[in-house]
Amino acid sequence: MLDAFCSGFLQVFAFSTFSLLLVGILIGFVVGILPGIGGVVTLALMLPFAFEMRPIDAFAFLLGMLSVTSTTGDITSIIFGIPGESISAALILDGHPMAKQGEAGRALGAALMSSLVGAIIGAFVLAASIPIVAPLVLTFKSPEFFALALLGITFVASLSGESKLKGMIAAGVGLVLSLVGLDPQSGMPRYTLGMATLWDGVGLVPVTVGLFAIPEIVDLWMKGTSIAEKRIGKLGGVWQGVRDTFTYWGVTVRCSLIGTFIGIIPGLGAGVSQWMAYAHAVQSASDKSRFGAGDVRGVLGPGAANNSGLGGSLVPTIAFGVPGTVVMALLLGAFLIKGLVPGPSMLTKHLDLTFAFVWFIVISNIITVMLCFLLLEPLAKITYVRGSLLIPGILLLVYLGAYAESKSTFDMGVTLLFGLIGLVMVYVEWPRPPLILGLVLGALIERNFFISYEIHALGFLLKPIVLLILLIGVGVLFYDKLRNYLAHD
Amino acid sequence: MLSRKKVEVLFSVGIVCFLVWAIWEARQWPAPSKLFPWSLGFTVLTLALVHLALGLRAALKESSVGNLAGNTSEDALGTGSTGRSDSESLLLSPEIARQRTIVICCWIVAFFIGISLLGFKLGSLFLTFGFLKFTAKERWTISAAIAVANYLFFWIVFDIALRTPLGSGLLGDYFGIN
Amino acid sequence: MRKNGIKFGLVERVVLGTTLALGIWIIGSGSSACAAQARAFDEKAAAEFYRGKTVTIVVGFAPGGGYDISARLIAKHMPKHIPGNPSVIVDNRPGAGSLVAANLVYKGLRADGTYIVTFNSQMIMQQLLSQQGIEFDGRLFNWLGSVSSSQSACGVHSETGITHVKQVMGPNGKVVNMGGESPGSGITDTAAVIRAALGTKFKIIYGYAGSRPVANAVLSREIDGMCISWESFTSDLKMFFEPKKILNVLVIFGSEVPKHPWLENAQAAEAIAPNNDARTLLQLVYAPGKISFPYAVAPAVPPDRVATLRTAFDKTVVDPAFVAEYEKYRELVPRNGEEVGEIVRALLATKLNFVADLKEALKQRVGP
Repeated sequence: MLDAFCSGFLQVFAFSTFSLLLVGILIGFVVGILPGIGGVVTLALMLPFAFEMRPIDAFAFLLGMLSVTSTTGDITSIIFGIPGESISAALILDGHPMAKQGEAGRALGAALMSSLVGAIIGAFVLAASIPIVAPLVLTFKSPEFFALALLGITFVASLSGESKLKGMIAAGVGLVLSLVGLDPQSGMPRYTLGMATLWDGVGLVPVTVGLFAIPEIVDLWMKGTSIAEKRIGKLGGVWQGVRDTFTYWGVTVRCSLIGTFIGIIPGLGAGVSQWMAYAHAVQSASDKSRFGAGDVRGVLGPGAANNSGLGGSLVPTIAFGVPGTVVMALLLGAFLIKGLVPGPSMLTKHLDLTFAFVWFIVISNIITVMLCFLLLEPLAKITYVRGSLLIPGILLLVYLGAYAESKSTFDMGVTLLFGLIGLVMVYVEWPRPPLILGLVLGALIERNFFISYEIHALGFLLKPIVLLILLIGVGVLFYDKLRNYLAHD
Repeated sequence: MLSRKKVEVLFSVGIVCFLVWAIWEARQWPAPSKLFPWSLGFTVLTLALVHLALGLRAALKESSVGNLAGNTSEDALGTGSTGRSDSESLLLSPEIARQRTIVICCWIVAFFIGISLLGFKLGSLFLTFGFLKFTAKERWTISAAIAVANYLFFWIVFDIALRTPLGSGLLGDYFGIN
Repeated sequence: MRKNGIKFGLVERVVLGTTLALGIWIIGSGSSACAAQARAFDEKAAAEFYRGKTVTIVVGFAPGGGYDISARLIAKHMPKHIPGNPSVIVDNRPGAGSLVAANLVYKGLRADGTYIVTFNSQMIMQQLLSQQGIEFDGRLFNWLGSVSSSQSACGVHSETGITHVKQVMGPNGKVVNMGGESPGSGITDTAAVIRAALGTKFKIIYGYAGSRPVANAVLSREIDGMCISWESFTSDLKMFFEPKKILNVLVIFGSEVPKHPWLENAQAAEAIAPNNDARTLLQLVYAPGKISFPYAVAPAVPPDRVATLRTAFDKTVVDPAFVAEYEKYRELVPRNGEEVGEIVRALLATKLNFVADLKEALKQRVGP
């Protein structure tokens, strides 16, 4: 196995392979920054070109691209408050306030470094766990997914700030919104207002972009200055952010593991892990007061989690051709076209290729981070430009993000509507993340409930892993009280 | 205009109406389709009504005491990322803040209409120029430069590099502009 | 009479008149003969129209899937076969299982021959069942052709010990849990129709979020089996058969089982159908699969443009470069526009009592 490990490493640096890795990184870089044009779209667009290449070159290209898009998506979240990728939304909560306080450099440095750490951890978990992952992945079926989704809802408490009641109502509204679309059980349209466009539900990307980005635009214009309201100097700089990653090492590593784990379990998706990581960062902090106003830990958590997801989601894809996310499904298509059958052969005959994938992820993240560091200072300077000059561009990017996924003007309208709702929510001090979390998790909860019920009747609630997960959920809900109780002892 | 507490009451009323509508819509659905809408709907409705009641009480107390200042306890997380407390400390008078908010909201809607009708390329050209010249009162040259830059961005990235044109908007499709 | 010095006597007038009449008759019958031959078109006029223009193939699914890749391959090779050599691009408009795209091109976009749509042929079945939201009529679409054929098959995990479809039929038949999405999706409806027509004891577990989650559930043994196109079993879902065969295909649509080692004990549905009605039902549901990955233009597109595009499509699907690339991806089963139109019309002409039976079969939610 050691020689596969090394030969995998060497394969990365073959000329054609490495140059394609770089091209993939470059494309992924630009694409990641554009909201709505995410990893999925580019991957699919580039797939036909990848057909022409040798297998290892094709994967260098594709993995290079994918590794990068989640990192660069963080950049627009921090600077403009627009999620560059739907998995970068949680970063807005603290990353953008940091930019407004002149600490854009620090936020970017923290996001980049934690992304790198997350990616490395995810890649090595991939390498280490392939032999043992099979039983783990196949143990998680619909009842366990149901429990995990419920667990996700308990994190709402940590995302609600002071008012848990408002958080719960927001989450509830999100859950109800997730019901819009065709009923998975009967195919009956629910809440679709007679429009076929709504059969697939209210889009997550338009809602997220509208809810978070539009209030930022209004705020930017209203105060009449630049994004950054003050200048901080050295302390707000990039290297401070890098140092923060290691100062708060615990948060970074734990959130990397959260992201990896959620990536491994097929079906949950990275959209969930960023919020859980953020919630965990909040919960594990003794001083929570600055979260939402520019606490660097609020950047480290999601930054680490959304990058570790790639390594994690490769695990079931490679080990048995079970792709957990849409991106992985596309990658799997690439595998098959190239004649690679996922499964035991990837761990025996093609072990060096598997390790090469690990190295692709690690190396492309390192290269990306290096590239970004070169660009960060200029990027951070954007926050000092007059707001009015930036607003048209930001607004266009917002609508682009809404439109791009389905080429739908309707989605742009959804963004507008939720933008106005977000504006009101900010004014009346209602937390927005719970609404997103409800929207993301609602469908998972309902589908998996009915499937589990059809197969096991209510007995599914008594399965051991389900009980364990529900117990963790209870723990999460009462975590604070528990900690205070133990502290008093 | 309306104090924060009063707006919150209105917002709560809005949520209650939404939930009542959701429950009402589901009334004749078959049981499995109705399970989640009703169990969620009734639960959240209860919470929302509780919140509404609390909000009403606070708003009424506020009017009777003649309290003009809004909610002062700053909940950093609850406000999300606009850092409202900071901007208020920049001493913007409420009227100017309100006026600027309305102006930008109009533009946000205008961008939506413009892009829907003309597509991203042409839409960005006219809307950017319009905003920068007439509302932001920037110089003619910089307004035009940024407007053209936005046009070029959409053209180069989508039409040329990615070869996935973004559509010409409703009018564009109808009249065949591109 | 006298005109410029030429004398028109009676004989001359008769000759002139007859010649004119003959000429008119020849031209008239000639052009109606041309019109009758629907494929003829004025190549020069077509070239003039298409030169410098962009033809858009609207794909009803997100990038990366089968419809998208097929469309991109066609877009790559079609330009040289259209007079005027316009550029051909792909525009993805996913939504409502490709219904959004179908409705859009049917009546929402310019009908001048610059928009082609590809959408799920199962939608024709949905039109037959009067599904709400369908704003098109398959009979009126101008079909250009189709490039694939999809033959659905049902299989169960080998751990169930079931190797032959007989074991799940009849009074002693074993009940198996088959995964499904919501009613209306291909995999769900296939299972429902097989159950209705053959009496197999399928309990359909509804609600999975797609064919991938269903496949995962079979792998993890949460359910016993699934129905999906044979093409998917041999491409995306190869892991059921390689390196070790863990799925037994029990039944496949059609009247004959294709020769394949993985289809060892499989039975052809139509061959084991208990009666004519069941057979007709099976044929009905199989029909849309025969025209998988179809391409069409709007009803309002002028006939000569339709003819131009049909000819271009036909040339593209036999273009060796296209064939070579496509076959790397999946098997090419081309049909031309007339054939597709025939199949669609036949499907939509199904007698009402069958439609009712089909609706019943597909809505049947209670297990065996």
